[in-house]
Amino acid sequence: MTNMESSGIDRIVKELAKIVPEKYILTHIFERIKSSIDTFPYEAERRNLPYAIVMPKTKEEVSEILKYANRIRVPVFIRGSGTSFTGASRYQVPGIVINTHRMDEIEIYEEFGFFECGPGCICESVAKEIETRGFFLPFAPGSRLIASMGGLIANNTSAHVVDASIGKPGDYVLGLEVVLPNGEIIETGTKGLRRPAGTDLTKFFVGGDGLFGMVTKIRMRLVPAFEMAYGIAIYKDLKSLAKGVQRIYRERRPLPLFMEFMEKKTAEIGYKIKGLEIPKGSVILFVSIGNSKEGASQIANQILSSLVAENPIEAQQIEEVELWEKLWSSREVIGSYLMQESGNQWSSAEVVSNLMKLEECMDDASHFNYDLPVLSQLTLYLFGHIGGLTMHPGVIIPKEWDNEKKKRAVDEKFQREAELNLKYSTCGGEWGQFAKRTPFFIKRYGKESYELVKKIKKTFDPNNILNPGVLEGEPQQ
Amino acid sequence: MNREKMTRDLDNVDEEKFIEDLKEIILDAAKRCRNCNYCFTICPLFHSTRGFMSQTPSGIMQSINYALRWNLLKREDQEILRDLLYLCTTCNGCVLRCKSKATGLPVLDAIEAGRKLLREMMIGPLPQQRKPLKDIYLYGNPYGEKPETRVDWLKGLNVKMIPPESAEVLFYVGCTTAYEPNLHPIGKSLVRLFQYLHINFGILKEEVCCGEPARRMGDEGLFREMMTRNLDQFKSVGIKTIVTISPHCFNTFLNEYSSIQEEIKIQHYTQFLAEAFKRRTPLFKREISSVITYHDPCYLGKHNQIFSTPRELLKMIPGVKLVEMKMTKEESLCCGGGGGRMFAEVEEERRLSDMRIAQALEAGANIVATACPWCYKMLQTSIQDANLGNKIVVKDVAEILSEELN
Ligand SMILES: Cc1cc2nc3c(=O)[nH]c(=O)nc-3n(C[C@H](O)[C@H](O)[C@H](O)COP(=O)(O)OP(=O)(O)OC[C@H]3O[C@@H](n4cnc5c(N)ncnc54)[C@H](O)[C@@H]3O)c2cc1C
Repeated sequence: MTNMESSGIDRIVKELAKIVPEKYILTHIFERIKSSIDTFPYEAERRNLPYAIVMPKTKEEVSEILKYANRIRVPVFIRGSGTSFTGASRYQVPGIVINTHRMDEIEIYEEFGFFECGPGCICESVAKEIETRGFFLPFAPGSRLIASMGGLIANNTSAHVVDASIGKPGDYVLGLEVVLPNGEIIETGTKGLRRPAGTDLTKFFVGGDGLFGMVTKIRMRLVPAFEMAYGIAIYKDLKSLAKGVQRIYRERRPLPLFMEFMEKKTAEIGYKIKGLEIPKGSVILFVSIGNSKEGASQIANQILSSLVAENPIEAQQIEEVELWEKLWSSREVIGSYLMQESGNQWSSAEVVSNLMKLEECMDDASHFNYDLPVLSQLTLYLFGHIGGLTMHPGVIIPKEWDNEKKKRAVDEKFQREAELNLKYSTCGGEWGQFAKRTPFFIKRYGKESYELVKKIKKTFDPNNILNPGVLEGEPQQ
Repeated sequence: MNREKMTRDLDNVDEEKFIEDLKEIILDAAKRCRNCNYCFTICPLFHSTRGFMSQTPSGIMQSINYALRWNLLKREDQEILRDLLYLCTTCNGCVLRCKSKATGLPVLDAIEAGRKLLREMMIGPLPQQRKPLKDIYLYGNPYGEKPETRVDWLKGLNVKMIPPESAEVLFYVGCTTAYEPNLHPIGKSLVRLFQYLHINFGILKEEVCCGEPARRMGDEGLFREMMTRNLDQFKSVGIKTIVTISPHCFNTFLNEYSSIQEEIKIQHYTQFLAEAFKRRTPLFKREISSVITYHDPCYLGKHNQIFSTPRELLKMIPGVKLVEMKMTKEESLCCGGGGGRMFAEVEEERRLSDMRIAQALEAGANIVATACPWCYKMLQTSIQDANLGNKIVVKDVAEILSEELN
């Protein structure tokens, strides 16, 4: 699909204005730019800018937009908050962008045991809304302050949460309302608290990378809040740290809700900003959960007993909340501190290990960039969600680099991420599966699997209207 | 740092260099912006507009950035860019958010640099903002009021006029309180409080605008002129302390006037009263039964981290019940009056001050207290427009204190 003459764009706007009030359609260049860039450090490209950005409020409006787009064969991109880390929100062809932010209603049905929200709700707002009633949002992306529920569900990312502890967001999705690419509106799932057995179309859309339909309503189970206990372990080397984590699984410990780690050099930075005494090694921080404080604390002790077996320099529960908050935010703010110190942009990969080879994978992650032409020019930092066996090796990309070099850096990052996840027979547990990760998908699961996904996509979206480019993957440099 | 740089270069009146520096501020900040969009949800515009991506802090900053890089300052894009840049209320929320969670960028400096650039190119400000700027230039206030009527509200209050008289403390009233009859009670309350505290204070006979609206609307030249006029006056009357009503004047004197802070102590009246009440404990006449919520003015709170002082003042009143709104302190919602928006109708999905009143009611308050004449006006308009006067009233902290004093 090629760029359109401005008369064609005027026609699109005219038609869209029959569906949504004109004030909810923008076509100016500035909205078109900001609505098609993402966190990648390089500039937008003029030829890929969308034609128009439209903000529907209802599923019927979404349906009409998609029907129209099918009639004239124009791509439609669904945009939550545009914070995707895989390139899914950096469009490769022009089209119509549906911004979901007006679909931001949330209804809490305590008597049913679930809440329903529009895809444009911001995770943080939903969390605050349900937390005041004693519930807990069962996922925690770093982008919680801004990511939309629609984007989150499309990725089905457990993010910082340890999957094996409470599962992925999809485990809590009871049902969805979806507008298919052809404009048909469907409902999936249940209003009960048991998710359907057998075929459940919900699964195509939760973690569907926005390929098969636009989610217009999400129904999720209300999860009662837990009590928490906090713990820390510091290891001289990453090897023992990895062994400690393996023990937790092997010794059948109840898993923590969160378990983060920072390699020593990285931890030093976080500790410094928070005014903490510099750690003597690499740090694990974890949060265990229980129905009572004592319960959570008992579990923390069980986790600690596994961690202690690998001879940490220090391992203990942290009871002083103020200290814990400092420690936890030393991990949370690292990326931003690195950016602030250097005046440049953070960029990281997601390397996921299997349990058996965690030590080796940790070693690979800590040498992530050593032989890469562009990335080896930069210092490597390492942290991640070690409870989920996930590592985020990352670098700071200098703002002075030109667009081409920045692109090469991003591509190298995804290539190395793919190599390592292939080596360990794993895959990313965050961010989504396609766009920059499509080459990995093909290598990891084979051409047959990829063709199968393409066929499924064709079934849902015969004209490839919805989010084209995501499944095809961005051309690599 | 950027502001200092801009001011310094203006001294040399090197226009080309001035423009280059403005561009550098924008390009540098935008290049470092990661588009993480964390700034969206703290921005009042995200709540008041429709959530379009260009109508957010990083969206506005990227717009001016791309306008420069892609040479988009052509006719059809000019007005759109101008409207985007002037949407911002300059509340500083994005700067705080970016500092605590992201890259720590001077987002607001970049947006204001963009406004200055547009002003230089005769594209900005918004058409309705031209008159207030002209009025500041001609009359020393943005309302086009006569300078000689500026002190009319003081009749019968027995306040020193500087010059010819002199005083230890200069009570800088500001244009809005001086000229808006329904804000006179704020000024009068402060006079009463100062007299109660036996403060040796006076008011400038020929007070003029501090220039804040000019700077916010991108008119750096006019701002500089007002700064010079004020500095000359302050110096000639030998003032040691300035106390302001408006957080905008306060911020301007404190952070934007060059070389005054070393010689003159600048305080917002809430700070001044808090110190004075330590020396003389106020006696209140009764217990009050009001439920008060305090609305943080952006230029007091988010710009200058004065969050607790006004609240502490209110808590001194016996019986007072202070409740917090959903968005408060660092996350407080702007009333919509800052950044030159007091002088322009901006199209919004929801008016910020309406949302704020709804939040105050939700918190269970029957008084929404504030410490800024513009916030006062904005909130009062919302109460009146929605006919909510029987449920909630807006009062300045000074008014409340003065009413309750014995
Ligand atoms: C600072 C920062 C921290 C982050 N931390 C994490 C993290 O810890 N874990 C993690 O996994 N990710 C993280 N991310 C990446 C990103 O925020 C998440 O993947 C998030 O889920 C994307 O949400 P969004 O609203 O921005 O979606 P967008 O970027 O707008 O969209 C992402 C994809 O979802 C699709 N989509 C959006 N809405 C819908 C809908 N209603 N129906 C169907 N498809 C839809 C889009 O078309 C697109 O393909 C982070 C990003 C940033 C900037």
